[in-house]
Amino acid sequence: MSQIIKRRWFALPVLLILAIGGFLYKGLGQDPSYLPSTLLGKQWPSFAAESLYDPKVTITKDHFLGEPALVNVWATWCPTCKAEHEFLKQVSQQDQVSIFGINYHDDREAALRWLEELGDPYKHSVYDPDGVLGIDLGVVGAPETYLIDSKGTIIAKHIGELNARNWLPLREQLLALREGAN
Amino acid sequence: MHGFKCLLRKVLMMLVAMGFSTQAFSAIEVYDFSDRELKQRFASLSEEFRCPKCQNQTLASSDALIAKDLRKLVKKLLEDELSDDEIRAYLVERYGDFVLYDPPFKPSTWFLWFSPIIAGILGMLVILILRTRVNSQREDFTVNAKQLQDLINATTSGDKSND
Repeated sequence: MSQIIKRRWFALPVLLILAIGGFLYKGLGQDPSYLPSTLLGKQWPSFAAESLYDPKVTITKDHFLGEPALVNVWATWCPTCKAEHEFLKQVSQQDQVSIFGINYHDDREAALRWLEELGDPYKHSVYDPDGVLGIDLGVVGAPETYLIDSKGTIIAKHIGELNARNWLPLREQLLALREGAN
Repeated sequence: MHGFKCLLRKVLMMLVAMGFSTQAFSAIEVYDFSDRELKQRFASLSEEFRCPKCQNQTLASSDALIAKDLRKLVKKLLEDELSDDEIRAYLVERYGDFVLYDPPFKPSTWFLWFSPIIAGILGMLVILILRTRVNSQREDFTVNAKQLQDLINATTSGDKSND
């Protein structure tokens, strides 16, 4: 009798260890720096900012609307941005998607030189030297990429380098948006 | 004379070390507030928020670009005469509950709030189990008066036979 009771109590710490182990194991695959965006499903914040190419030209939210599009936050001081730049050009051509660039906390001249040397995948480039627009978006660092629908609702946010692997789920969402529009 | 030299050297080394320490903190900018109350609110608010980039530092202690931006923003919002609660709401709207070191009590943070209580209950359970176990083991060793007498008799008779 007491043997059975003892065995039952023995199961408790084993279960506990399994539960804690499972919890921690799940945490292993997660990126601790990942922050869920508060803007998913919400409207892109309205803004009015200088164009990177011409300080006299103002770019507003309206420029981003009309079709599902990507918005990419980048800077010349950000090595990961350089790493994904080629892929962004590829995406803009292969998937025929408009990409808008937000040049974040950067120097205008350096940014323009970068686009001239590496090519410019952006339909419009917004200049955000003080990160003001960045704060409204909840930007933590560069690069970040947003998928928005034709009316400016934020559908998805990707933090970090965009590459062939993590583009796939975003691409699915983009295609779904296009299908929904037709 | 020697003692004085030694002391002087120590003081000099200390001064050099202090020089380094001010350099280490000089990256955090100093803001001028006209109002002393605003300055205090700025200090307490920037201690209250977590830097979204570095995660284990407050806005006040972080040197990350985003922390600088957010300090600047907090200063601007204070000068725009927003209340502390409005400033909190402004940041939470953009960065989520994560920016608060003191997160609100709601379903998504229940686990966070309850986990210490759960851990406490589990700990008490373990102690309780261990205690009942010890007690039950102790019962196995209890002997009644008759058994005890038998035992004494047995040993004393054994001793006699050994003589």
